[in-house]
Amino acid sequence: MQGSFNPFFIPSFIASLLLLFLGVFVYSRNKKSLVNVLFSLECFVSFIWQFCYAMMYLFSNDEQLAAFWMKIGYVGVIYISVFYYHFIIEFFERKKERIIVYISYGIATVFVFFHLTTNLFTNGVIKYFWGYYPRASVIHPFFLVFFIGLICLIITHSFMGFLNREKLFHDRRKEQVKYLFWAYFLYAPACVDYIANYNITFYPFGYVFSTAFLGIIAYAIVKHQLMNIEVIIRRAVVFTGLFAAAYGVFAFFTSLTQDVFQNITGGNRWAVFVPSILLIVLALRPLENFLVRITDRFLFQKKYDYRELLRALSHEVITIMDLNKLTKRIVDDLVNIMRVESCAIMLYDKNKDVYDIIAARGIKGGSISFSRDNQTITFLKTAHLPIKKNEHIDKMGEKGTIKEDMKKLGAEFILPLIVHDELLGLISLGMKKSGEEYNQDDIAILESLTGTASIAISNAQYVVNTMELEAEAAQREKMAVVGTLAAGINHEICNPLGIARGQCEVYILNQREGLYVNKPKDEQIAEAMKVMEKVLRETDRATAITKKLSSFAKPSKGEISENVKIEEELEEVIALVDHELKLGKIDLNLNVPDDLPPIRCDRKQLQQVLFNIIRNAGQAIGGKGTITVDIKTIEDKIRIHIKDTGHGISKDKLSEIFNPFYTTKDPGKGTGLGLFIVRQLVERNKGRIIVGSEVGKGTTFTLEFPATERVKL
Amino acid sequence: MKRPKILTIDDEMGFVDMIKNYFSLRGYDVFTALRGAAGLYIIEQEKPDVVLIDFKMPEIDGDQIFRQMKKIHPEGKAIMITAFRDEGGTEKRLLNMGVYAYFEKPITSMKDLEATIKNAVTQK
Repeated sequence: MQGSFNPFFIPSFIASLLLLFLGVFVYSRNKKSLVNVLFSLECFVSFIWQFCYAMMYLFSNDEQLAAFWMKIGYVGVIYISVFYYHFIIEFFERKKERIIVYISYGIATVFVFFHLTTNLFTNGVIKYFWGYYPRASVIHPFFLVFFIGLICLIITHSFMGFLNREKLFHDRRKEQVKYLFWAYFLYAPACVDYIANYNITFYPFGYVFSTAFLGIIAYAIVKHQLMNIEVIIRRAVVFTGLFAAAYGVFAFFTSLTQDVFQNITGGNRWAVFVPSILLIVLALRPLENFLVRITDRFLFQKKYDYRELLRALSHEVITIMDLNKLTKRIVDDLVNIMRVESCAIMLYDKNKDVYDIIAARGIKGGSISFSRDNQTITFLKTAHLPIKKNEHIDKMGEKGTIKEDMKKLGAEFILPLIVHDELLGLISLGMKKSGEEYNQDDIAILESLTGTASIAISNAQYVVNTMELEAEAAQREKMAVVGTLAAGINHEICNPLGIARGQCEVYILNQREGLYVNKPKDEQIAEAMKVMEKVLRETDRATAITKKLSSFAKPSKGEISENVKIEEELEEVIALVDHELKLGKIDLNLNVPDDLPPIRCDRKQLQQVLFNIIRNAGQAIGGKGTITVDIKTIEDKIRIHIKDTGHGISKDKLSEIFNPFYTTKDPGKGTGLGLFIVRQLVERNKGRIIVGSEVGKGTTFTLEFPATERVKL
Repeated sequence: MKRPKILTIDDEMGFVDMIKNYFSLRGYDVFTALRGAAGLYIIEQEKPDVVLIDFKMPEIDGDQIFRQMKKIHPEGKAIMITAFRDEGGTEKRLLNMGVYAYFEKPITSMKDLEATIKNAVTQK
């Protein structure tokens, strides 16, 4: 009953398909946005128009059927311009003109009423070479006026928007406005379709323009996120698949089987739609799941890797303690995985009081630093949100420096690094090499990554800080030690030198003042010799102590010797502290057995340990007292007991004395690091240190080292 | 005229030797002590005109020797000799206490020391 197939049906059919697709797609992307809703309504009524016309052409041998489709189709035509106008008003936020919109809806509805219920608006169909076509009736010209009026308003608004687009900060919006204008401008000529309504044979090729309109809008959506729609491949594929299937089913049923159902349902044309809709509703969900699975397996593969990699990065960064390695690693991985043009991490430098770049790739130009009251920094600090170029920038207003800052960094995206409410710094990411925008998935992953990175960086910084503090404290400790040695050294160096000098001076003065005149020459020479001998002795004394001191002060290179004799190292140490102990009226008793086996350790470190403990003992006594050093061999271990008769340490403090910074001395006198370092050194040399004490009686430190086999010579 | 007596108390053998070598040839009777206790004994026995006291010594400080000396031999003059310098605080204190002079080690000029001792001896 269809007769020969009307080829003119095809272009309209395809156009309708595309329009419906676009409309549903835009709606699905953001159902809450009025702009999106209006646009999809636009597309929907345009779809009705094109689809019904396609149907109308298809039934080129059945006037009644064609007229039926025409009635439905023209409803769409009437509302097209109204929806377009409303869309434009909402897009450009021209709230004052809403009243015109409502009036237009009213007018349009009036026309629809006349169209559906009377023949005053349209009156059946005309047969042209391309198929049947609506015939315009009495009221129709008024509609034309209304229609053209709206079109003028639409074009004016979009043109004004286009002209004024330079005032926008939002680069993307500028592009969107441009394309919007061209789209509408190119849609307008579609009104050639009205010519054929008036019995003039003019092929209505309006669908060409509606397709052009579609193309431009689609392009603007994909490239410039018109209506804030982000096209993600996966979803688009799924969507297209579903849509094609649904539409296919629908079209199949309506066009090919309408005769069958007509006969079954007794001429009720509307029943045609029922089975189609039923099938679509039933098959939609399972079809969607199937398509999602397929696309995940084939298309999404790459994206999964990308996510997995970023997750792996999150895990790894936690373990890197070196701050420079860590930040470099993060930058490198981000550049490689996300394929971005540039990436930089800026961190707060407390010495310079600025945020400096610590690691970067692809950043051109000189060094960049932001002070603490830089706008970008303050924004990140207060908002705790990332800054996306083209989004937040508008809200900053013209005076902001954020745009320039982002330009300097070549950044598309800046994420804050925050730990405990403190802004450690920021990560800036440049454009993706593919030119794609950062989509929601990317942002979610990046935000989670920066959270982890912040913690990792904060840890690494803590380690650096701690090392710096330790280094400072160790230096103060050294100075304190030097202070201690000063007394003894002064004595051991100044005195000998003074005596050597004095002896010479005395002899010379005696000679000059003629006090040796009566002395025989050989006695004079003998006297001179005696003086010289005394000088030698005294200078040797001074040299000895200087050597001991410089040897002690030299940083230990960590040279471990197998054959370290404790008694020798003890002697060296005692030489350094001896005078001070004597001054303090402290007796030193040594009980060193013969045949003491050697131990394996770093000589210097052992000296440092002994020195510290003996010095502490002396300071604990602080007046008159005794220090006793007992060395004993027990099986394969050597124990060194250093006992003092000082004030002792109470039981509760005993466990704390090895803590760094624990000190009982007055502020400024002791750094408290002594015993902390002592224990580290002892343990580093495979030894143990134990302390026992009684308040008022004294303290005993016991060092235990494993003995080595005596070196056979 | 009786030869003036000077006593030097210092734990450094080389030092007392040097003082003895110098002053014994210039008309002084020089007594030496390496320990504070010995020094006090000699002060009591010989009543020297000038006593050179090493300020920092084991077992007994020069400070304490001087105090003892003031009790048992107040007419004697004390000259403190020391290697230490603590920004003059001690110096002031000692001079206030009645010490005649304060010399730093190493002694850079025996002549200056001699002059000071000469004055100390002639001053009554």
